[in-house]
Amino acid sequence: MAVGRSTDRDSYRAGAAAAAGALAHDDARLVLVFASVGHDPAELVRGVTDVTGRVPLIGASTSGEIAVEGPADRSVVVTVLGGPGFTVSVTASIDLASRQRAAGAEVAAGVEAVRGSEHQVLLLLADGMVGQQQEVIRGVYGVLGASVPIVGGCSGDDLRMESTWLLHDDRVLSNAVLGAAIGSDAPFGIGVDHGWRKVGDGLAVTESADGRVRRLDDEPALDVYLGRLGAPEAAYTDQDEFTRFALRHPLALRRRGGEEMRFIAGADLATRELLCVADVPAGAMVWLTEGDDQSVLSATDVACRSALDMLGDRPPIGLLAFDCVARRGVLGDEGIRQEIARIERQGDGAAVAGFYTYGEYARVRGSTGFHNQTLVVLAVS
Amino acid sequence: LTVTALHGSDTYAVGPAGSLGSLQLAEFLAVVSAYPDAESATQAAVERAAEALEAEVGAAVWPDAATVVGFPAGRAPVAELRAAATQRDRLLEVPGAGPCHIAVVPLDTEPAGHLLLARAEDPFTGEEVGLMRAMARVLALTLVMVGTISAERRLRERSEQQAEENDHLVRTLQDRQRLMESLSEIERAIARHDPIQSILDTITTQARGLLGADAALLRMLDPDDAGTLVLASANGVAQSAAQELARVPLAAAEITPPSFDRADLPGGLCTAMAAAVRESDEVVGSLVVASSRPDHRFTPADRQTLAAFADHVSLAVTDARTVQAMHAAFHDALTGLATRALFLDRLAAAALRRDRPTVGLLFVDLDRFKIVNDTMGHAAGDALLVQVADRIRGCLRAGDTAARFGGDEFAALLWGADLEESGRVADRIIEAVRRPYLVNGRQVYINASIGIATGVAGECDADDLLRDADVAMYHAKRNGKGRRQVFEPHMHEELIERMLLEADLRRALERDELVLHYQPIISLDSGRVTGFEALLRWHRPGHGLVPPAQFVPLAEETGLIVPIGGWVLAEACRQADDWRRRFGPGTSIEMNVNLSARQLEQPGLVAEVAEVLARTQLPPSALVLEITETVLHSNVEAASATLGALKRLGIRLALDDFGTGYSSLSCLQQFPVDIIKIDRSFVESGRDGGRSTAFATAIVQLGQMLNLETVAEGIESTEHLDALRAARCEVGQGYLFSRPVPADQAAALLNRT
Repeated sequence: MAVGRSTDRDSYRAGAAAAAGALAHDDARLVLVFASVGHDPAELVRGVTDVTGRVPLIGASTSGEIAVEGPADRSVVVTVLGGPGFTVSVTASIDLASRQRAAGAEVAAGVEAVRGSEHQVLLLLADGMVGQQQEVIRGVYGVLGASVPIVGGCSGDDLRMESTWLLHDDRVLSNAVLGAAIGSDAPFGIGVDHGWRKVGDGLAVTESADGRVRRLDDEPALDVYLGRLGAPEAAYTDQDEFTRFALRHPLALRRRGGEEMRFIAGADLATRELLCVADVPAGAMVWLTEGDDQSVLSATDVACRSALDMLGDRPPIGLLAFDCVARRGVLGDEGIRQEIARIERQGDGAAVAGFYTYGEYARVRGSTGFHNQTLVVLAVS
Repeated sequence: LTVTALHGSDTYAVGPAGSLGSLQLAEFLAVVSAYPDAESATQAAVERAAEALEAEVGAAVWPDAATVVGFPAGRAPVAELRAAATQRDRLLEVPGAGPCHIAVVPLDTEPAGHLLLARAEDPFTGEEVGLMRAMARVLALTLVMVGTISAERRLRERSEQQAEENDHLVRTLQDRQRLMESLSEIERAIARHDPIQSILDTITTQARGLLGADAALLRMLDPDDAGTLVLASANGVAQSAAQELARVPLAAAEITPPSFDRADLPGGLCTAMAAAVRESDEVVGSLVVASSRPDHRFTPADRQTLAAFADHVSLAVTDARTVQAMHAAFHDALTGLATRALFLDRLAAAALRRDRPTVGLLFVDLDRFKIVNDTMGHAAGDALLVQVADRIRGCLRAGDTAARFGGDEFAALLWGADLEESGRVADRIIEAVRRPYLVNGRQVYINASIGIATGVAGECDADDLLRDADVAMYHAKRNGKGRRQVFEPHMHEELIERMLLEADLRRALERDELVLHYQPIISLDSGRVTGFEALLRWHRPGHGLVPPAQFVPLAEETGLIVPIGGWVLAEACRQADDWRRRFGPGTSIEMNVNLSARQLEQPGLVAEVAEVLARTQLPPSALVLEITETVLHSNVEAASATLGALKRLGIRLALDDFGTGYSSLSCLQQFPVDIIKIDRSFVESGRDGGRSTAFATAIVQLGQMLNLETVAEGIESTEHLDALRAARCEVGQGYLFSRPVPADQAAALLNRT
């Protein structure tokens, strides 16, 4: 696995330069492109494919790109996975917003092509503006069951929350999900951690529907949320202030094996409801959380270590990081430099690439695996 | 379990099963009941059950059908799953997950099926299986209702005009909606931890209303008689009739019509049905609905509805037990304060918080509590602790946490408090604890010693903070009790020094570093040596000869005084016997040995003394055991019995430091004492215009009246000696005659006389 990066403002040149930097092998099997939403995706992919040719390609717009040189904005990071031990099959499914589950099932079908390999993983990239991503996992799980782990992230747009894009071979897609089924003769490792601390007691979600959390412990959800966290005055009345505050205080949804984080995208100031991107079902138990740079950074080490542990005694050749943009918000520019340095240190010379996401995928155990405000690391050996 | 509460003294998070189960069931119910057809409802149920219990595999299997997730599509081993549903003690091999544990519950459908989950690594708990059973019930209910609705719908399609059937369809839909709402309401009540009785009453009310019954009864296992069910809740039954129903045999827990006749029902009720309440496969109760209309017939759908309510009874009871267990685990049973575990968790959280600049910690230890506990009994001690806990709680600010660490140790966590604020709270606690208590009709006084430590939130370490406060408390106690002490870094050094001292002291015995010096006891008339008091010294390597004041209190505190005291007794007796042999059997030398409170408490003390006497062949009359009067106060009856037994061995007892305690005279009356040793403070006359001398004279006279020997201590000058002679005191010891000296020098003194 090799990684190339370019900060060239010209999308074609940036794509070509980054791809050239990543093309260390003759027998490339998969090209991953993570690029700033500010780039022209069509020009970008033309630049990349002019270098990589017909090697299967998937990519996503980001809210910040990750590579060994540290984090960046307005850059392109191209990762090439290659070598005789790998087999890859890439699938795309469109119209995601109206058929998440079916789309998940469709991209999962690509795994059949790599069933001959000893180890397999399904890498997903999905449009981060589409809700109900857990349904994608259900669709995938319905096809694969526990046989193949799932990893990946959702495309971003530098927190503009307007539109994102995905790249599939030479196509530019939105409202879609892409799956790269990767087979290998060496194991993969997946690590997940978030670094948010629970504040106070658990709250029952007493009323919720369609991503709107209406009541917590039978009180208006927004008031419970802001009151218990001691939010600043402005967050009660100003939508932007609220969003800034909410970015650092996700909900932790109780699960038997730990918590799944839920990003609060906004608030309905009139009805006092919290607006979530992912499902927060009625009857669930949630915690309010907080985080600081130390807690968020320590999660980085945990996620990397648990991914590397799954490789046994094999050294990693690369680490792919799918890191929530909200963690970036807490860490700040200096913090994310430290974070990426930590990932590098953990990788001990392995290639590092990734991006800041609008949602993360990781299923290793059980049947669920859509996360918010979390870091997911895929270790490749 | 993770305790996550950060605020308030009585809030805590509950464990992974209990209320989480009811919440997960609520979620499950909402999702599954929303599907309009059997196939998608089953698919959703299997998926959600697997997700809720983090299982890799979920399956609903029937003899003729199966819905499975967790295996690659089309490759589910359906036959193996069917077999697994009936042969439970086996593992299921799941590709990608490895060998998985299996849990199976029945699906009460026609034909009968099973809901099965398989999970890698962790086996399923009884509570999880309980949750699965409730989920299976919800699925079965949904399938029955979906079946009824689609049948009705087909009927309706055939005959649009049949208004009655149309109504029936509407009613069925409404019933389903009402049932789901009703179960949701119960689940929310469980999640809120409403009082258990109120939840059970809600269940009987809802069951009665929804099933159109005239009465609903809930009976649960009698905790004292596992074969009998007793009434736990009743709705629609008169109080008098409920009494009649109070007890039925366990066998009546689950009976369906028509076999359920009037036998167990009060007057007026004739048709009934019952569903068992289960916990981990055991029947623990029975939910009964009954009608007074002879023509009333409960349908199979009604039976399933009742069973769903019975499952919710089980959830509620399990949850209540979990909450109770959680509360018990994190709250001191006696005082209701936080336990050490909960306190430490909150302290760790407080130390991390950055929104409050500081955190204050008080370590509170009661002074004199042990005396109350020992003299008035443990029940009185407990009653006192409860009052103390209430007072400490009353001194805290909103949001602070008080804890009992066990014994008479308490702690308080003060959110955002700096040194000044912590000091104010500590003062309030000292004042509050100092006020008199009424225990068993008697007024009791105790004090609190408090150590204070504060830290900067986000920078300090919870363990360090606690240790600092503990060290400061120890200093407060040493400096006079009933006071507060702020932690200072040098205290650590002192503590370390003390720990080193203790470690060395523990080794002192085996390394032969202890030695006895002997101070002669002199006949004031003749100047002859009549005996010796054995006094302990320690050759501590690197420190020279350590005087007892520097290590005996530590030995007392740590209990090391027991083995050391035993050694002193044996060595002194051996030495006395040696001298008797050397200077001839006629030499009447007495050996005085000090006895500590800890030694006196040892049940084997009398036997030990007897054994030493036998081994050394020292005549018992040559041994005098010295006891201070404070030693005797801790447990008068036991001390009196022990001293009596020692006296029966033939040894003599001396009351040391006589006159310094507040009940010296009562000691003389209560205990079989032979000798009074007049405290040195009465011998050092002159400073207070002769009052002490007068006191010494009075003690001597008292001794004469009671036929007790009096020994004066601390005679340092001829003036002392003259005054004591004038007071007709016969025996004494002090530097005027000799300091305590090693055995060979003591022998020389004997030689001289």
